[in-house]
Amino acid sequence: MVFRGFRDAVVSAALELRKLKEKFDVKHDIEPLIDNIEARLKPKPSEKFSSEARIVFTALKTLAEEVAEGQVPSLNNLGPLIVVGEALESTKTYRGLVKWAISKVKLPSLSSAVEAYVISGDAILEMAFKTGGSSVAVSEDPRPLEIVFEKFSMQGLSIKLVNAGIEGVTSAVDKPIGALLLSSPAFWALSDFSELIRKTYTMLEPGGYTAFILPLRDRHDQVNPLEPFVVISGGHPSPTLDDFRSQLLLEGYESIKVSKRDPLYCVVARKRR
Amino acid sequence: MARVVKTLCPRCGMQLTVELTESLLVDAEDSPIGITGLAIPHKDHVAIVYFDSNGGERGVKVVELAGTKERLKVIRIPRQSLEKLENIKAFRVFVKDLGLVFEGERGAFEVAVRGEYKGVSLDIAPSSLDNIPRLKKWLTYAASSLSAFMSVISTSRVVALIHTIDRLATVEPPLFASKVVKLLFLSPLVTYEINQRRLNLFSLYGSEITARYEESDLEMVIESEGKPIAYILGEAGSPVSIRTALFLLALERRGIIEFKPLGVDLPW
Repeated sequence: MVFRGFRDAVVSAALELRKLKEKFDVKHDIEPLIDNIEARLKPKPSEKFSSEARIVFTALKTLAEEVAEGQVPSLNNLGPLIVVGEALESTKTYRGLVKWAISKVKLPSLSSAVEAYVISGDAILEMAFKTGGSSVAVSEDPRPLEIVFEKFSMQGLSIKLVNAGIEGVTSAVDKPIGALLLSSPAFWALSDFSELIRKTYTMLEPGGYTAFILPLRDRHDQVNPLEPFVVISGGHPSPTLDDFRSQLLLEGYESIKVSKRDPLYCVVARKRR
Repeated sequence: MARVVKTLCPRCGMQLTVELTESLLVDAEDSPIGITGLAIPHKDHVAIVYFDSNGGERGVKVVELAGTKERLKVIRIPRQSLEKLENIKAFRVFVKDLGLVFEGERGAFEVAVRGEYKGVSLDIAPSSLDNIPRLKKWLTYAASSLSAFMSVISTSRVVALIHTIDRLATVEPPLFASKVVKLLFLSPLVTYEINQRRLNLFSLYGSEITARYEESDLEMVIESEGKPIAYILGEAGSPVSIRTALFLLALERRGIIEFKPLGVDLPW
């Protein structure tokens, strides 16, 4: 028996979107995206889901069905994205990418680490374990902040909670920002990547890091199977890894490191000193 | 030896004790109208007891304390309603916007601790001084609940809240204690609806989360949907009720359940 993993579950959930496509009120047509995914990635029907894949499939199906019923997530009311994001972030695939990202970030002792668009808070918690430095979680929806607060309290760690958009971080944090973590599905479903690259660069101290976890395309003509879920949530189709890297370099980032756990990428970039 | 006179306050019925000192009788004798008054402040008002120069009582007048704009309605809770209290000897709940005072006592006391929030104050005389630091926190959360949900304040709700605080007095407030008190206070008036899809998903990935809660019984949560949350919480203020409330709050912050008022208008 072959068990299908994270990527196959995303593909299967993406193909299921056809049944609901009339119910989505979206800026970008998802039909060509699904066609592209089906042509390249359709899983074999005889294979079964692993337990991780079952979580991923159910999470994305939950998101799609709720959005189809009008529960569209927004930054100040993440709606279904709280459980969906927490579920995805609980998988080994996601946790592996988070661990990899944290291993590439070197946080100066007097700096703070910030996770924006936080949902489960696993990334900032991992960072706190590694560095013991000052931690900050940011969300416009207050409920994820409670989730993070509870996790940190149970570990005997302190964290500053900022109930605001990412722009609110600078005024709320008194230490320079040495690391910015943008890893939750709320980030990749609800933000504009290009705009965010500019914002994060200005927020960081020189030599500081930004870690992004997001779905990117390998090539222009290869749709990432998570893209339809980004689009139904109100986001844009994914750029390619090369385009994303170019934007980072153009903004002034350097030392760009990349890891891929299909269909997610982790990109860690450092601001010039 | 000075004579002692006892009389009753016409406002609240409290027994007032006055010592007829020599100077008091001299004041009455020197007065053009032959009487003098002695002010006795108590509760939210002052009783002025008048005497003639022979020490005869000549009437009692009640005036409000400075700053009390409206007459307060004082509701005294009978002692038999307070028999089950173990950690509270007496209490006084003041809700400024409603002009209401609820008070009751089941024994003599010397020390009281206060919690207050936006025009609501709760004074509690504890049975043990050891409970004061914990009570202080719980009382502030309870005052916050009363302030937030003033529309449902009634004698029975206040008596229930006092009994809840009585049980909480020996418990260290946990994280989200303020929300726990709100749930306990409103437990007969609030239910919840389950988002079944989210619950299904949570049951796949949430085992690490439910393990943090001793009373994390998802089957029980499903079974109790639509009923007052008092049904699932049990005795408000007991350790089980606190742990169950914390679990419900964990589900609520994930959007798995949504609290709904039961036939009352609540700013939930």
